[in-house]
Amino acid sequence: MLGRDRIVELLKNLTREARKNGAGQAEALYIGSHSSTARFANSAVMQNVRESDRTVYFRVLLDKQVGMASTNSLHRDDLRRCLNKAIAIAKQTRPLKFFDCLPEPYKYTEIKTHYSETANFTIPDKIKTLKDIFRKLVPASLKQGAKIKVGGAFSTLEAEIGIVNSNGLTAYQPFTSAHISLITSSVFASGFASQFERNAKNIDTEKLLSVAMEKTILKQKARKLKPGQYTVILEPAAVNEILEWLIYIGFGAGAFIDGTSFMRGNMGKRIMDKKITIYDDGNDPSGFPVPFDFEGVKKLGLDIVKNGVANGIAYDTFLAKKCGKKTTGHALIPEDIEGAFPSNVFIKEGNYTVEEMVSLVERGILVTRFHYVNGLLDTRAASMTGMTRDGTFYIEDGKIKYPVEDMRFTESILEAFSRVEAISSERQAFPVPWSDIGANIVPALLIRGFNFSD
Amino acid sequence: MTLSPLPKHTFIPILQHTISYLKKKGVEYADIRLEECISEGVMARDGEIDRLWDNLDTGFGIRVLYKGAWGFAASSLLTETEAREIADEALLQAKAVAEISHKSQATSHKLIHRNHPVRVKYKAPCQIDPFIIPLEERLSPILKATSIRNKKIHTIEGFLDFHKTHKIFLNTEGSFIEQEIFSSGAGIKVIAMNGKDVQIRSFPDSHNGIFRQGGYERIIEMDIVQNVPRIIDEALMLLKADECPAGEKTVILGGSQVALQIHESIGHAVELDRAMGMEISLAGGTFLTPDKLGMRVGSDIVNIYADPAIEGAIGSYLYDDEGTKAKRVEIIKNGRFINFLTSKETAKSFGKKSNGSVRANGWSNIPIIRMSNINLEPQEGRLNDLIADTKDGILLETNKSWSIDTLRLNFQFGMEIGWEIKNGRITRPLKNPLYSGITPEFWKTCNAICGKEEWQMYGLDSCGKGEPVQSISVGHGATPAKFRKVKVGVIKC
Repeated sequence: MLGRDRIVELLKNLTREARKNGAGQAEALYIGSHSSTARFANSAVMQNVRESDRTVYFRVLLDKQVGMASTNSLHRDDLRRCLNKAIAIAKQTRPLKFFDCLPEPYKYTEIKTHYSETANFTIPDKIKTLKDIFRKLVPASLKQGAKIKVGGAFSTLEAEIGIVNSNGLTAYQPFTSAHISLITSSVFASGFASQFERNAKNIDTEKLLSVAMEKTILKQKARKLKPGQYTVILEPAAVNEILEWLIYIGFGAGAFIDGTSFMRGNMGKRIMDKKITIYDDGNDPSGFPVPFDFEGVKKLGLDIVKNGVANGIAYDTFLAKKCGKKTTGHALIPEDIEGAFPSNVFIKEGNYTVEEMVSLVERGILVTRFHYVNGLLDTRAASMTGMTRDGTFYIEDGKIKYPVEDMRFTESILEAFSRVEAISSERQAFPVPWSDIGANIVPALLIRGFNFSD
Repeated sequence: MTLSPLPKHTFIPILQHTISYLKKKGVEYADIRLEECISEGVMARDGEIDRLWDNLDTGFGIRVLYKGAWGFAASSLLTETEAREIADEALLQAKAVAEISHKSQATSHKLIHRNHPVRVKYKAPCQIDPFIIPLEERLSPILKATSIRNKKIHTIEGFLDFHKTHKIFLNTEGSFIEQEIFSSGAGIKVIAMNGKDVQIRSFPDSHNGIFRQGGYERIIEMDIVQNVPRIIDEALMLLKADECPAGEKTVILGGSQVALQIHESIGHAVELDRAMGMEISLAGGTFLTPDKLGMRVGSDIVNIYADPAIEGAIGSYLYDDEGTKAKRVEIIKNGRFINFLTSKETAKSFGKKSNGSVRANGWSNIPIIRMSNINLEPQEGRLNDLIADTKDGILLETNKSWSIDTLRLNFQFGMEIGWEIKNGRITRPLKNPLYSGITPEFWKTCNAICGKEEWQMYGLDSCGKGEPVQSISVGHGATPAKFRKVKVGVIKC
């Protein structure tokens, strides 16, 4: 970690040099990170990876011509070469009618996003934690009368982001995060649990193991259910798989512009049940707050779906200007061609515990998580497919009865989210694929008539 | 500037010293990869560039084996101090694992086989270096293609992608392998809108196009601009087309979809690390466990092989990222599963040598088993012959969506376009087709595969596996093929 002063000084020097070399406006973004992951399978540590990287991204404007280039080599010559490359690209590209200005300076909210407990959590520390998990499985296996195995991954990240532009914008923020996922499996069933935190000290492996094991120790062979429409309880991990695709195909400006988003033509109209509210809030401390996006625009709240009604789309400066709108503060790193996407998304909580939701179901299925969800079947209807995995159970008369074989769902999520009957009060955090520093915060959902195609 | 990284050529001797240092520290095996990748990615929309970025990515990764346990660390900072710190970190990890592992008494002789040391310098063929072509000229195919105007078309998007990768591999066995590879890719997506309906047609393939090794000649070969009017017509046709009916049908898959079908249901299924449960946490396992060797997984005409040595395919290399020489491996012979894709470690656990199927996504990732180019052997005939020989069926072209279960058995694919076939002739287009099946049952119904004249090398640029997820390029040689009794569409009960 270089720290605020060194990064800001480096970026200010580089943007000054860009101006000297002919750029009308210049922006430099620094992302530095140390990440480490311990992977485990068959109750043994299998792989460890530690990575340190630092990248500088340049964006320059020559009037209305834009050039972008990046390098992870901090060698002076490579940085200069990269900067001049961005200027050269700008000179060779056609002027854009709509884009003429980088963001203006902001005053950011002070938020604590960095925890030394996470930054100092080494791979040997992770291995010690995992050893403890493996040890705890032994008595459970003896009780079960069959070996229970555990697999998963335990990762931590320490990152810092600095942004400087020639309009006087200066932003810096350090971050940490810790993520663990566990899959326990026996001959009868498998179970899953995960936890995502800014502070690694909050990771509760005992609780996670207990949650995963509860689904693994049912001493019954999984039964096969017929395809059809079932009442389902989707636990938070399953809801998050669906939410990721809703964001990808629907909530970003790119899909809205190209017409494939289910939000297009539906703004102000009801598209889901009124119990569903989906919003983005980079300042909410109950999530993974981030004071600004990757071009330094201050985070503001965005109501995406409010009481079931389509309300808002995520923009960065470029796509907002293209559409005659204002940025909503959702720029991703410049090389992401599909942005902007919201990366601090919440689904509003309800009033139920998952146990209470189970008690509401006469006949149905509890889904722990999905595998390989794909939302490109028909993006205007948000039609998706995916398989259940790691804990799918039949519910009868308000009680979990037995594990069932994994099943494929194929369903319009707009229709399914219009049949939501109950939402859990407890929500869980999950990492987002397009930003290392945000998180989705999601509850469990009870949905009637969810279609399992096979 | 307070950091003083070294230029790449000055850094290589430091890495050679690092190998000696690790030997002195008592490692049983170590390898280092130093990689530099220059890349350019472009997205254009309706004749304007939406995103164009140029990137230089450099770094090194060190992998060590100590008392039967692995450690891996990587950094983008090319300094002598950093090289030593990264080597120590990798060793520290391995020691920490060895302390708690059952393998702690093992030696590398038991865990991996050894290769003979080689010194090799390899440059993959590239006729036209894309990075020396003036930008305006380089971008012109997708700017022209996305500028084509049609009132009924909502948007045309275009993608271009170029990479030049220079990789140096050295290990404690004494190997020093240098490989330089160019890759190029492009694609066009036409989006037609009509009230509530949106239909998409892509060329030459969906998901940003086709990716091949080689230079700008790959983009010229695609002849993108000439093909756009046809896909505009097809996208508009789809807006008026009937929905694909659900039921059990004879299906002909276009070549690019056969490529993806191979990728998802065969390529991933034959990775030995999956079969050993090592990928369970994210990607899942496979139905093809070692006890299934010899199992029938396709009809007699289904022959599938891995070949990382095919010139110009996106997944090609001369040596893999463990320093094992690339070679052709038969995967399915006459419908029977006969070989896994293996690494040094996984192969050794079955008393075999690696078949050279290991790669990492760049310097920062640990090498794992990856598909290179997994290909279907051609049989005979043209696509027209397959259609003419079909009484009642559907031709499905260009993938739209993909999904498969954790064991690579239960799959579902959505397609951009279907063509109804009646009595040997295409009768009408069908929209929103999808098909599903169970891997071995599906491949057992394969009763026709086109010949060499239809065989084409396809390339995907974003196959994900591992944790942290590694996205890598994979090639698939395929032809159109015919399957009986395929479940088409979704029936709501």
